Amino acid sequence: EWREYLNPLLRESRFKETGVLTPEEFVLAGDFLVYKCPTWAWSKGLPNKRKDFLPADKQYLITRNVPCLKRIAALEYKDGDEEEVEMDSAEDDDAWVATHKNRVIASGREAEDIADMDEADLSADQQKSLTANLAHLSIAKKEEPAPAGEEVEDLEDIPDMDEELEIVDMEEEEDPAAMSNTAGADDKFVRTRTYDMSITYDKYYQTPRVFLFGYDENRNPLTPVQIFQDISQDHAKKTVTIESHPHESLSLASIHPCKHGNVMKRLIDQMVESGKEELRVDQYLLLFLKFMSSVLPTMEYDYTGDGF
Amino acid sequence: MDLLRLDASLISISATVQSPNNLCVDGDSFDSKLTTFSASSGTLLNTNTVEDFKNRDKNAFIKAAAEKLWVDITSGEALTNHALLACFTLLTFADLKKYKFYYWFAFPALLPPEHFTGTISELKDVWSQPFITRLQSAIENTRSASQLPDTMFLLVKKGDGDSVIVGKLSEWEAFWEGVDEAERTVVFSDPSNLPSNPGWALRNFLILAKHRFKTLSLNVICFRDMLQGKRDASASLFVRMNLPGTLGDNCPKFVGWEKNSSGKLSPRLVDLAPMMDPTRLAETAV
Repeated sequence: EWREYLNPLLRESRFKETGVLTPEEFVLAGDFLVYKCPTWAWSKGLPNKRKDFLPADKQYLITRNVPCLKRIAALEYKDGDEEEVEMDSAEDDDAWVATHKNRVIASGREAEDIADMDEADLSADQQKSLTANLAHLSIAKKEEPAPAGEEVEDLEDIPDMDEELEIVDMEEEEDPAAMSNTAGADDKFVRTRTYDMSITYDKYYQTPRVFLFGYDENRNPLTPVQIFQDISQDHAKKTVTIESHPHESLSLASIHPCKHGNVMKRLIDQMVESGKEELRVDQYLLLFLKFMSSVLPTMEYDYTGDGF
Repeated sequence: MDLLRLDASLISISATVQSPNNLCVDGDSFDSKLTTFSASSGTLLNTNTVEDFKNRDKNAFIKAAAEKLWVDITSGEALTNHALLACFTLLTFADLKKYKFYYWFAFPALLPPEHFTGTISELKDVWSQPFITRLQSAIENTRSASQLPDTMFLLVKKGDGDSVIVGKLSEWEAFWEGVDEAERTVVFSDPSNLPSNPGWALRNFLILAKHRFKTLSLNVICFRDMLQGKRDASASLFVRMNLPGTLGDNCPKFVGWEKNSSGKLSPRLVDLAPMMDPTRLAETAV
């Protein structure tokens, strides 16, 4: 937070050159997202956490109740994926969104073509900074996926009303108008995990930043370990941490934005190369959400379609 | 907790009704100036001890909210503030040592003297698509011209030519002049997405219609304007309601305590220690 405090505010538009946003551009892009996808809304946040460089009523964006039907483990992997991971992480940290590019969700939803960016060339500068990151990466690589034991430990955490708290003699009037609570054969509604997802503006990295609050099928909050099950394994332990939300008194899972600018810059360049129309700055968040879907492949928040 | 401290009195809060099927109470809920067509008006009582939470008279607690709802309906207050029809009351206890939060919502619904019944169809089988589109823009125009939550329920009739006219509840008598009772239709901004269950607030509205306008039958359009994140009214319902019986002057019977995930009348508990306990947070911090 002190870094945010010390970092001067970005005033000039640089999104085409570096993939970052000014606060004004963030508001523009947010307005467009809210207009395009009414599931997103601006939020005021807590008054004592208000950031002066954003309008009082447009501090951050939020969408609630995002269904998340499957765990990452249920995704199908195609042959050759593993190889790709090794290669990418060995020489190109930036290409981390490209891993598992052929991955498809078991429901048959097509992989987003946005993940298609492994052939990008690196400048000498980038190479240098990436080599510097390698040490850190090799440590992270050694981490095994969460052992089954962790899961068991977690189960104990599922809150249960203390037995003494159960109120046994509660009775109410008979209510035939209420929906039956028992799931009948005609119950078409599958209860799923859901997420509240917010996008804040990170002043230090000058990019949007995603925070997640997860609920299980019964609307109980998910533990961090459970949330990691819904984040692509390439990122779960590396770029996702539990941090305090800049506008609320909550600590939430957040995807660290240190690479967001670089990746966005690449995606923007790629759009230009592929001969599509140049990205307008107000469309930034639509592209950003597509990028996020490589980190959160099973969350169904993206209703933007092509949107451009 | 910082602001309320040990204050265990009933305070007014608000909430937003979110599509689909959710009521959201958050930091903004303490801001009484919430102005949206989908607001919900409520009360909160935060107890200081688990014993108080457990032993407090639950029937008296919901009864107070149900009686207030009845007063809001009979006084006419709810005609212009529909958040009062979507009311709730919330009993909480926060165990700040273990980061466990106990809570129990009640959504008071007044019960009719005789069961109300309805026949449900899909709106698109009753109204043609051009009319639905015109209805959608008429609703949006009315909402954008109004700052108060008096547009959760709107009156609607077909006008000259192919036009659709939308009116406020407070215009009831004048609006229905010359309109056959079988044609009287109310549009409910329905947060539900279930195929045969409209949102809860409709129940209290029907009690209002019964009490105030002595209505025996009514058409209700359960207007669902969002489908998979897009503006799309095609999942809307059309319900023909029969409202038999008569309401007396006293507060009717009521229901409303939320059942827990196993269908029992019981409070709920969230354990936020994984998000709040400093020692556990340190484990996930890099």
